[in-house]
Amino acid sequence: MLDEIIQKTPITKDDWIRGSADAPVTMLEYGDFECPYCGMAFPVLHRLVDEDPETIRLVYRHFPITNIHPRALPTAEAAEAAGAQGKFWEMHDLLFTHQDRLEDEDLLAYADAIGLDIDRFAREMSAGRYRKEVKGNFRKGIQDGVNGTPTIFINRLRYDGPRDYESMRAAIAAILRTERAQRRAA
Amino acid sequence: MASSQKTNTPAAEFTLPNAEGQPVRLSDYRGKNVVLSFYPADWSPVCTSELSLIQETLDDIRGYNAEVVAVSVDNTYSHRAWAEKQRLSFPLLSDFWPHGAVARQYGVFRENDGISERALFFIDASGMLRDSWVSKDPAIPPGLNIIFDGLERIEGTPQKEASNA
Repeated sequence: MLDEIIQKTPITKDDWIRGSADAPVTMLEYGDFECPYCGMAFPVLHRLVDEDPETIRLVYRHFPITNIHPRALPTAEAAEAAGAQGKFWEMHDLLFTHQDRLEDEDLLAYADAIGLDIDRFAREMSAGRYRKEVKGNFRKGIQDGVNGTPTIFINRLRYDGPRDYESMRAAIAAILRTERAQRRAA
Repeated sequence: MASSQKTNTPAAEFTLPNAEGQPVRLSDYRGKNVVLSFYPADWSPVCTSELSLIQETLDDIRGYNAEVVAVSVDNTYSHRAWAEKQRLSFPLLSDFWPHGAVARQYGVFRENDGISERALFFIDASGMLRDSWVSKDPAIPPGLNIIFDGLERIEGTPQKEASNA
């Protein structure tokens, strides 16, 4: 039943992408800025991309578990609001490195630190301007078969293995080897 | 992996105590579709567990005229504390004594370690078992697509999408 763990939704121009647009490896993360396991995965995913951005790209989608994480939704909206001003990843990185400080005033301070237009940020946050985008990501996550946070797909296959650097590096190497062999056979 | 329960036959009836110690029968849910979720244990070391995901999408699940009933071999006191910690509003039933009896009825009891498999049974409003899914590895929870695909097969696409997601 391989179909169960295949990413169904395509990556589009509306997605947040870190790394080269035509990298042969795509890691899609469904994450929640208040989830400690996402916080632990953050440095690993970033090291993988930053070491080899021509080969590996990271796509981030929101999957806020609001029932147990009261700051999951506002932080996701804050990342979107920063994204609207061209600073999605800057906000994303600050949120994942400051998971113990995610209150409204913290978000404003981060917006200021990365040079956002603060008035616009505050206005859009209080209007819930980007809630629709966050909910849209959540719905894609249901379709793709999110089974916890973070859920990571590597080239459309759900990766349920350990999320340390060595394990993920090995998984990506194996995927690249298989795909090369398939191309040679074709 | 298949369970011993046959699809398109009546789902095995059971009565188990919920977290408050009150008896809950499967047949209490006649008229509603039921997602019967067996899970290995309360307090497993995953913060956003399978049950949190179910809670987060509960309004959408109810859009399919469905209710969620979760079962594990933990006792009622554990269930109560776990439900409170994870803020779960659907019933957690205790299959504690006779230990794992209902999991056995559904063919998902693990004799070697005394817990159940991670499994989902989809039971329609007339009490018929329509579909089932058993995890190959109890550490890996089902993707939410499994739940919604199962409900879709019973109920079709709901008229009105829930506003939650």
